[in-house]
Amino acid sequence: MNDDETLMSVFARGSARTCGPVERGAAAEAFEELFRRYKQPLYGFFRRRTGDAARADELTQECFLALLESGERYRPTATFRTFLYAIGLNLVRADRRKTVFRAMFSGDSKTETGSDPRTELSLLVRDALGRLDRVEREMLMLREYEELSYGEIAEVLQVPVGTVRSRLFRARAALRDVWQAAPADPIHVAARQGGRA
Amino acid sequence: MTTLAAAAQHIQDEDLMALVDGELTGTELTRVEEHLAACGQCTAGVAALRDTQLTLRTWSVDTVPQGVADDVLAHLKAWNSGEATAARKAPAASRRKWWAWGGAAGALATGVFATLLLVTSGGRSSRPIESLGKQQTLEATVPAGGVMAGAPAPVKAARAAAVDSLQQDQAAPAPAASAAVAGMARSEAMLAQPAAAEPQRTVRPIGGGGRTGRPATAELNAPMIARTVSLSLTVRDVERSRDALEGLLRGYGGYAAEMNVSTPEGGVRTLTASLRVPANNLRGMLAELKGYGKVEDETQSGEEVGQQHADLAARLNTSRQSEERLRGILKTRTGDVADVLQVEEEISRVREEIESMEAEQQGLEHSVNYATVELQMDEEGHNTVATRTVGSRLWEGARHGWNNAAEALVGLVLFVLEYGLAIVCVLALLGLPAWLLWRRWKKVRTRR
Repeated sequence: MNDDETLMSVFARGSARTCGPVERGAAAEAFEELFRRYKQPLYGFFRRRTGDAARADELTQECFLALLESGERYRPTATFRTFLYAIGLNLVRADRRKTVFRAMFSGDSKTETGSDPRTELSLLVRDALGRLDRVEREMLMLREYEELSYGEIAEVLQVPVGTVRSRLFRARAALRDVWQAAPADPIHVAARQGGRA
Repeated sequence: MTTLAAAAQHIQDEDLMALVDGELTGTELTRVEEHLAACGQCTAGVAALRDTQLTLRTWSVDTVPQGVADDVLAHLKAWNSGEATAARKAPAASRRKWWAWGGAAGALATGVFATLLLVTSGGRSSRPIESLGKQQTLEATVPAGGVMAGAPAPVKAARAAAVDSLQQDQAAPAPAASAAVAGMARSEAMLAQPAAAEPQRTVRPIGGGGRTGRPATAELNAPMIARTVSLSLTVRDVERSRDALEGLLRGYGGYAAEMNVSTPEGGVRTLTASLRVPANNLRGMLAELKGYGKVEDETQSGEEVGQQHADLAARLNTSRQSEERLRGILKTRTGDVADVLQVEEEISRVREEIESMEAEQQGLEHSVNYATVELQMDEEGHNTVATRTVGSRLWEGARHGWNNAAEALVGLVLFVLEYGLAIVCVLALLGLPAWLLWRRWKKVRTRR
């Protein structure tokens, strides 16, 4: 099985305007495979960062279509995941700007980012994350949900690796503080629900 | 001692976190694992971190809707067949639409701005042009003979018609112009002094200079040019040049309408003069004048006054005919005393106009017969600025600097006094909404 970068390189080659039908067909297959692998992680990425399931659907679709159009711009120096999540993060930022702008004029203050939590535990986690510093929260989410390495997080957020490490540590410490101060500690709730099996 | 040694050997929390995140490799990983096998405190730390990690990962999301997958794959199929995807086409079209609207709005705004700018600057620039034109006209119609031109031709023509119909027109400008003519003629005579009588003799009668009749066609067609020369010279000795200049004027039958010699402190001695020279002798006199020193600047110009002169002659003729008719009416004496007095008043008014126009005509002829030379002579080698000491120059520079600084400060204070309140008002008008928007923005961001 080919890794992500190989698939993306095949797709990038097939995206060139001068390529033939064979290369284009291979590129389509590579893209389909990448889509199959990343549709759920990317949907989760948007779902946890937007307050609206419909917006998450649109952003997921938008992100893959952006990828479809920007294949020629991919350089093998970056991993596919950093390339994909960098696009995703730009879409999220643009969406937040639009939301804030709309909220300014419409008076609608519902600009929260997390998805609707389906359990008590998810609610506690989302609220605790919401209390963190914006950048630290983003780092922690990229680490825990998208499972990016420190180097990949540094590349996506355009910061040094050392900064990622120190701020991740700070974010986790802050998260523990928030949980300990909360009436219902999520870790204990998780233990109660058997979520830590 | 044992506790301290153990504490010194504990793994740092960041390294424990890196271990949990799978970021440790090689010897670092081995070192941490060996330590964890023997250290319960660090093992507990790792467990706490894993608890946090696991708790975070309990935030699960639903699966991606099938519709999203279908849409993306449909676009992929279209992309593979070389078609532009519909979903991307729509935003692109939308963007183009926005760009088009934005461009149109920008072009409209630019057009309005440019029009306003043109209208505003056009209004501003037209005034200097008009005033310049007036200035030129005045310069042209205040000839060396000291006779001022009256009102513009259409006004004069209307007045002439009024005289012909014997209407009572108490026009004030006519006596006023006459007085001005007399006054200017006197001052000119005082300035001219010895040569004052000479120009009267040398006036060449041109186009109806006599008291009767229109000018001959040939004379009308002959060009009447009022010449003006501006000459700037640098001479060795201004005093000596002045004496030579007076002799030159006598020789060529000219005269000095105005002459000034000034010697400013630290500056060059300068002679400025306004000379009147017979037009026929202008070339010869200029050639000799240029021999006095180095020519720094020379400008020659001429203005055609033929049309103006012909117009004046025609109106003069009409006024004279009116005067003759009025005198004929007076001779018959068919009316009562009041009518006779009215006719006499009218004759007096027409007579004044005629004299005014005759003076104006003579002035025009004089400006044609006598060219004007505006002369400036600067003495060389008298610039004392270069010979001053370094100390005095520095002192003067410092003094000028202080004056400039004071002027700038006063200017600034004046600016603040004049426009400060307006600027504060504008800033308040623009700044208040911006500040409110910014505050709203911050509030929304904080809520996030």
